[in-house]
Amino acid sequence: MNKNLQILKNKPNNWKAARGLLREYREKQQRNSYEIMKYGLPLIKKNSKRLSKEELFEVMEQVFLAGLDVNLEESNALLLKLQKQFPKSLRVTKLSGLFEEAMGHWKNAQIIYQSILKDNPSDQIAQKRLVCISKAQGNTKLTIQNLNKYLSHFQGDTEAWEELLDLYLSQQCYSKALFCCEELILAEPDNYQHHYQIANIYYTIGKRSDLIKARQYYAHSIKLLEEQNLKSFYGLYLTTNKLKTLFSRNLNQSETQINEQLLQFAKDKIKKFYLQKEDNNTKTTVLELLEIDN
Amino acid sequence: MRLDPQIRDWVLFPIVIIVFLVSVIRHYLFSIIPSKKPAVDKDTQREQQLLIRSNRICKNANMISKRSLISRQPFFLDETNGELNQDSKQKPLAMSMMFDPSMMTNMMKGSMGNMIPQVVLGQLISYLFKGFLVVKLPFFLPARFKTMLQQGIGLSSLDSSFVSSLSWYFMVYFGLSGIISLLFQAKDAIAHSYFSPIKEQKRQIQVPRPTPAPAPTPSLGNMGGTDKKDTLRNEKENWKMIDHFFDIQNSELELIGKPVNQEKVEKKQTTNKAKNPKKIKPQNKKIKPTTPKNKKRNTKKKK
Repeated sequence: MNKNLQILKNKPNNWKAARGLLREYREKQQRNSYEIMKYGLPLIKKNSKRLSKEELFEVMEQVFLAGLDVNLEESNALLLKLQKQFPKSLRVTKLSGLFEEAMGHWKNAQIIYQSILKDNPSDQIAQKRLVCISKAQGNTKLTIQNLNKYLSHFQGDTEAWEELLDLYLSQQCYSKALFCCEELILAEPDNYQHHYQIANIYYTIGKRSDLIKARQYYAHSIKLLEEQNLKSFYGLYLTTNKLKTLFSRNLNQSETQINEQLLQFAKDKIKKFYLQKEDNNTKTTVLELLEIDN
Repeated sequence: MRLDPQIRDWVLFPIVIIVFLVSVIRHYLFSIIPSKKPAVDKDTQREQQLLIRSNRICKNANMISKRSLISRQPFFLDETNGELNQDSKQKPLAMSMMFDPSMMTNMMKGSMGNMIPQVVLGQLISYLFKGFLVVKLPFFLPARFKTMLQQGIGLSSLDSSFVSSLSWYFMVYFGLSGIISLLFQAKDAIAHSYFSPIKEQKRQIQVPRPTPAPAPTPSLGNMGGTDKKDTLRNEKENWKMIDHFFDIQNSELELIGKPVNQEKVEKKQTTNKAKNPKKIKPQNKKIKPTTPKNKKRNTKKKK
């Protein structure tokens, strides 16, 4: 566990550890709202003199953002303080937009972001938040439209492609989801999760050529990461099994051989993984099921 | 030959302290004077992102199927509507930088802010600490440097590695800039926020540069004003260089220990035997039964 966090669990009043913890979270941009609120709020209220002025406002912003998840009243108080200190600041305006969103006042939030865009038409964050508002309202169709418009402008934004992928999957538009997932792979080719995701989509579509592609992408995901990637082994097992049972007529001899070998490989690995574990229900069930197919 | 301890105490160390203090004061002064970030034009932004995406596709084209690659081509390469066949709408930066008032303050801060204190201090130091040698450089310099490095001293026969206080000032100035940037970078590192991701922060940290060149303003593209229109068209080269081979199909073969697919095996063989004729790249994933001969002869282990 985090060193600072350990200190804080024993001595919750240690302001040095609190400051160090918040700095770490800021650097890594982690969203541990509960902890930030728990240790950051006393830092602001009691120990504000220990922080330099610049850092004090950074911490206030950080605790404000944490409060949007955990404690809206405190966030409100912090927002008022920040607005008093920086009256015409773009950054604080964005924070106030976030606050309106957290409160659920969609129209107010939209007005704020659109006024930001009037003065700064190329502001990326305001445009993104507008898409988030339509998503928060639950309007998937509109969100997809807005997100597509956003992406036609900001084509390199990986986060946005991920979001679009999720939206398409929720609407079961698999071919479009495939396109988004490919964008993710092109952006981050070493990330095993994107390969796993695209393999899932190919498996779901389920035609013969798609199953073969799914098998190859599962294999690639395994190649990138073997240790904690049991889900890819499951995927490989399921795909090879499906090919064997449903499409055995459509595969020629060498293909069947490869398929069989991959099936065996996946089975062995899954067995090996569960044999290492302690005995429990899952283990016995999985081992039994693997034997049945023999 | 020893340095007079009085020179050491009253010249060497004071110069170091002066340079350090001036850099610190300048850093704080600059952070007080507000400087607007240059407003990024919407079209420029879109084109930058377009280029980033196009670059990514060309770089990692082997990770997606050929059909997916082809489906992306019309968007970029279509004759009339393709993005890479349009004129670039980026405004030529050199001209607009001169006349845009917010950029003016940035440029002023950058070039003048570095040059003026440097020149002023240099003059001051050569006036105050005139007429004696301060440092012996450990390396040998040709005689031409004497006029530059031994400013107040008239001895023409003196070894040119003995230098005056002005050159010590320059050495300290360039040397301390690294240390100072470390100090202020540590300070700026405290300010990471939701709105300024870490990569952007690193670009924006103002490092006091010792050279009189303008300080790094965030670059919005090429500085050459002539071929602005063709920034997008130049990207087409990357697309021509794509040699697509679906690498993913080899991963499953690697997992079960089979020799990998045809093209890669041949690339290895051509280094040994120049006799191999050029073969067509495999178009789809169907493994052709014509290859077993090659595979049988090829006893090299492939991992």
